[in-house]
Formats: sequence, structure tokens, C-alpha cells
Amino acid sequence: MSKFKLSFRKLSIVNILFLGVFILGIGCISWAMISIRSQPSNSYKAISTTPTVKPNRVISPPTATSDKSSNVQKVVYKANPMQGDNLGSLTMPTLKQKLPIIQGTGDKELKKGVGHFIQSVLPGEEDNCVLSGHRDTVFSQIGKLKIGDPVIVETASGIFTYEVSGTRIVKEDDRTVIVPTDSAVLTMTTCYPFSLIGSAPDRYIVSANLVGNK
Amino acid sequence: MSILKKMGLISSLVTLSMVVMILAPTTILAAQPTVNLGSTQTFAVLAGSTITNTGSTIISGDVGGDVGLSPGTVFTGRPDVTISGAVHLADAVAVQAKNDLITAYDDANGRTPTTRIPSELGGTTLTPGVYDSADGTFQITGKLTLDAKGDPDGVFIFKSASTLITASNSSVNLINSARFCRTFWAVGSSATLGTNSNFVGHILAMTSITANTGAVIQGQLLARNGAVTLDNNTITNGICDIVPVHTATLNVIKHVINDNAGTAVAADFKLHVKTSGNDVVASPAPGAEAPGTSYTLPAGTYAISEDAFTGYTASYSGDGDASGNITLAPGDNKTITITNNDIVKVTPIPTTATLHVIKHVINDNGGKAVAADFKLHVKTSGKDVIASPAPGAEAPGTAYTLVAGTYVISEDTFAGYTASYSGDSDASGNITLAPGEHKTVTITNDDILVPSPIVDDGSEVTPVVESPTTTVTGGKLPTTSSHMYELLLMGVALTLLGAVGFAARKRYE
Repeated sequence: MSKFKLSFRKLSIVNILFLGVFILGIGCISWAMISIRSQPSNSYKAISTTPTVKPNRVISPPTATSDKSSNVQKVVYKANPMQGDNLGSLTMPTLKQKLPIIQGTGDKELKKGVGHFIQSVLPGEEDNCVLSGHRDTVFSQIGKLKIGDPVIVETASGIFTYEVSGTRIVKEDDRTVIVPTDSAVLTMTTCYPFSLIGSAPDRYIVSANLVGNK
Repeated sequence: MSILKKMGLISSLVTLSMVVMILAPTTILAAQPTVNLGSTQTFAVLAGSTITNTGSTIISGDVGGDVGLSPGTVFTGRPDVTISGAVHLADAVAVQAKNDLITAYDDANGRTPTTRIPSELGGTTLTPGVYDSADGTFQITGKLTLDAKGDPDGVFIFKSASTLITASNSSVNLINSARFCRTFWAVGSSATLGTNSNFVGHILAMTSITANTGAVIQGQLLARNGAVTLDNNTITNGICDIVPVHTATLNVIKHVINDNAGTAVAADFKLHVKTSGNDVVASPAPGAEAPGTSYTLPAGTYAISEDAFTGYTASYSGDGDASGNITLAPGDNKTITITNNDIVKVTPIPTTATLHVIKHVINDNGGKAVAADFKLHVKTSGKDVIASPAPGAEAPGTAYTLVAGTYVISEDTFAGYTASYSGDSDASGNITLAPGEHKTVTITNDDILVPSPIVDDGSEVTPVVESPTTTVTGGKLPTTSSHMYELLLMGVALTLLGAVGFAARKRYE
């Protein structure tokens, strides 16, 4: 004990300061790593689970099935999801990713998985369904998606297969992405550039058309 | 009670004096009266101590060529002086004349108001008035002109605190009815008239008067205490004739009619009375309602005019012609009236209208938006007008001044709110504006109903969001950065900084 006290006394204030900075740095690294590790896990190989949209909710009116796609069946959601609900999952076989879809795009929801933009239609419905995710977690790899790649969404109302039809980069204040469409479209958005440290000025957009409905 | 009576009496007197002041015509000309010479008027020369003459001197005059001396008695060189009147040496007549001289001197020396002029009078032209100089002296080198402006009763009084000296061959010239018998020189000490000078007026000197060789005087040499010295002079104390009246009275009345909301009064107008293009004395002057402003003017032709005054017509009536010209004969008393009538103000017909656009936001279902969050458009023929689009504003809203016509009020899509139009537009925001109209359109945005919260698992209250049947137009892209990479990078930097710093410090130690 006395040895420890002696060595501690030998430490100058400058040494203590550098030591403190070192420890603070280790702390930041640890916190960041833990946070990243705690992001929604990729369950690509796992068996898909039944979505947790709960009963006794307000019944939403059935929406029309897209007439433009003959292999797409009518989609009916029996209940409206609440903010924070798990709607189902998003599978991107090309990236070997399967991610949970959470209702809402706030901080809380995006920490849990891919967020569904509340003011867009639910997956599988005719019109534009918008999903958003963090560029440094769930959507860190969507820049690798190519035209024609499949994207599968599983919800309580069915399994909807989309096919990537295009990608683009827009400004963060662009208002032409979240707009109604004539057919069932899935739009995935994330911040861009992917590797930029700081507030990202742009958004990376992946558009996919509904091609199948089970 | 007595106090009340006194107050009543005072107020009556004040009222009476005000009425008198209002009714009395404004008389501009206040001419100086002549100086009363009393019994001295018959004396061409009057002295206190002695009279000394050299050479042949002639003293005469229709009024009187008398010579007086008091209290002195010595008149040297008298045989060479030709005198038309009597000589009074220290007799009762001389004493009385001396007393009257004192009165006349004090009268002349006490006249006001006084105009201060340079002491050198040569080369100048002066009009009737009372004059003095800063240094208390007067000199005449060359010619002094006295201009009575046609008034034979115009009085000239020169007050010299010390001396009056005229140079050799100097002269005083009288024009436009100016007369020697209306010209007075009150000299505080002594007067000296230069050789062969030609002098005019009554000299009232406190001490002495010296007339050098050949000086000609039309008037009087009156010395209160000292001597009068003469040298081959001619002194004429002529009669001051009663001249016929050559003046006339002109009354100028300004009448203002305000029957079209005008507010000007007579005094707001500036009136001119001109002859030969020049303003007469006391012109220009502010206008005055009847009885107007009275001018005493020499007979002649005059033009009455006024400075331009916006918003009123002007017309002339009375004794002048339609242009304000008038001819005054001696003794005339004429009146000319300038009537100004306010012009009907033509109110311009407006070609524009005013549109107020009010944005009203109702947040009765948890909405957070405010009026300024909405972007409003005012369009005509599909194009935004000037200053449109603009952020919304609660009452009184945003005002637009627009050319009369048809307009459409709209707003950019705003998710989560319904929109409805009220006020002067139709249900779609269309409105027609006529010239001069003031119309208002209110766009009311109500946040969309959210069903009542439902208890989730008995512990957390979570709002149920109605799933839209269509995707909104122009939704804002979500922010999708977790900042964990930034935190990781910062941690690496701090770790390296700490490690390198610690190692360097150890090496230094």
C-alpha cells in the first residue's frame, strides 16, 4: 500500500492529465463499440418470426391491390400499428441481412431497427412505403444493392417481394422522395455519405417495385 | 362679491381691447412728425457765446432771416453781413429762442426707432427716418441724396453724438419731394461745413457751428452753447410750403373661402404691393381679412399680387382690375380684395385592393405546428404575386396590395393537418378583388384526429397512429445518423493523445 502511495506521489499533474485523456478515450471507444454492437442484430439465417402487431387496434380500411402487378394479391392489414411496434422484417439477400421493421422513424425506433415512415402506406400496399435506417448500422451496406436485387418484407399481412429498380442521392431537404406513387413501391432512405463524420448533408435512396405477394 | 365684480370688469376690458385690436385696420406706415422749432424758426443763425463773421455773408429767408445771440453779446464782423431779418443780442426774443432750441434739440435727439448707418454719408441715398452711427459722428464727402419717396412730409433726422463734418465741395441733394424744412441734424458737440459745400437742413448743435469759406446753407445754424463762425456764406431760411396732398390710401383685403375642406387662413398668404416691379415700404405682408391692410402711398400705379398658394384659386375685386393693377390719384382711398377659394380635391379612384391572408392553426389533437410553418401562396394566372409565397401569420395575417382581379390563395402540403378556407374566398381559396376593396381570407389548419391512447401492457400509454391510405406528398426525409462513428473516432484520438503524451512525459522525466 505504501508502495502504491509512493508511486502515486511521483506522478505529476501533467502525467495525471495525460492518463485521464487516455482513459477517457478508452471509455469513448468502449461506449461506441457497445452501442454499435447493441444495434439490431442481423438475423438473416434465423427463422423469420411472426410480426408482433397486436390485436384490438383500430381496423384500417382495406387498401386496393395494385392492378399493374398481376402476381400481387390484395393486402389487408387488420390493425394499425402503434409507434414503436414491430411491423415485421426486411430481408436483403444480397447483403445477407434480415432486420426488424419498427413503426416510426424517431431516435428510439431507429435504434431498434429499420423505421417505417408513419405518413407512408404499410408494406405491400399500393403506393409508396418508406423505410429508413441508420447509415452506420442497419443500412450501412445498402449502397451495395444493385438494380434487380430482391428485397423481401415480411409482415402480418404477408410476405412482399420487391425488386430494386434504382438508386439515387438527394439533398436532405428533398421533398420529391416521399410522395404518392401509382403502384406499390418500397423506398429505403439513409444518410449519405456513409463514411462522413458529422451531420450528413445528403440522403441515399433505394427504390424497389413490388413483384410478389404471398 | 367685490372680487367677482372686479374680475368681471377686467374681463370686459380685456374683451373690449381684443375687439378693438381685431377691428382696427393694420396701418403699416408710421411716419415721423416734424420737429417743432418753436420761436427759433425765424432765426437763420442763433448762437450761445459769440457770432464771428469773415467776408461777405448773406443771411435771408422767407420764414425769417433773424440772427440771435444769448447769453453772449459779441457779434464780430457784423457790418459785412447782409441780414434780411432782425438781430437779437441777448434780448428776451433771443432768450426765448434759446429755450425753444433746447426743446427742439431734445425732441430731435430723442426720436426712435433709430436706424444705425455708417458715419460716412457721402455717396449714399437715404429715405425718411431717424439715423445714427456707431462712432457718434457723421461726415459728408461727396454727395448725400435724400429721397422722400414722394412724401413731402417725410422727415429725416440725423443724430450725431459728437460731430458733423462736411468736406469741401460736398453737397446734400433732395429728390422725390424731400425738403430742407423736414431735415434735422442734432449734433452732440460741433458742426463744421466744408469750403464751398452745399448744405441742407436745420443744424441743432450742442456747442458750436463753423461754416467755412463759401459754404451755402439752406436751413438754419442753431448753436445752443458755443459760437457760430461764418465766412463768406449764404444762409437761406426759406419757408416750408404746405404742399398739396400727393398721397393716397390703399386697403388690401385678403378673403379666404374654405368650402371644400381647405384650412388656410388669410395670414397664410403673402401679399405684395409693387410699383415699377419693386415692393413698396412694408410689402410683402401677410394677408388680413377685412378691413385688411392699409398702405399710404404716393399717387401712381401699383400692382397687387400674392405668392403662389397650392390648393386655392385667386381672384381680384374692388377698385383694381382683374389682374390686381390699380391707379391711385392723390387723396384716393381705394380698396382691392383678393379672394382665395379652395379647390375641390379630386380623390383618385383606387385601382388596387387589399387582401389579408390569415393562417389559423388549431392544435387540438397534439399537433405542434405554428402558423409560420405553413407556406402560403397568392397567385394570379398561376404565378405568385410579389412577396408570395410567404410564411403564414395568425390574425391580422399578411396584407397584400394587389391590382383588382381574381386571385387564388393556396398553401404547400403540410402533413398531419386538414385545411379549410373561410372569409371572402370560396372553399377553394378563389377570390375576386374590386378596386378599393379590403378582403380577408383565412386558411384554418386543424391537426388530424388521433384516436384515444390505449394502455399498452397496462403500463405505457402509446399513441395509436392511423395508418394513412396514401403516402403524403413532400414528406421530410428522416435523419438517419447515430453518431457512433464520430464517438468512436473521438475515442481513438483521445487514447492516442493520452498515450503519446504520457510516454513523452515519462521520457522527459
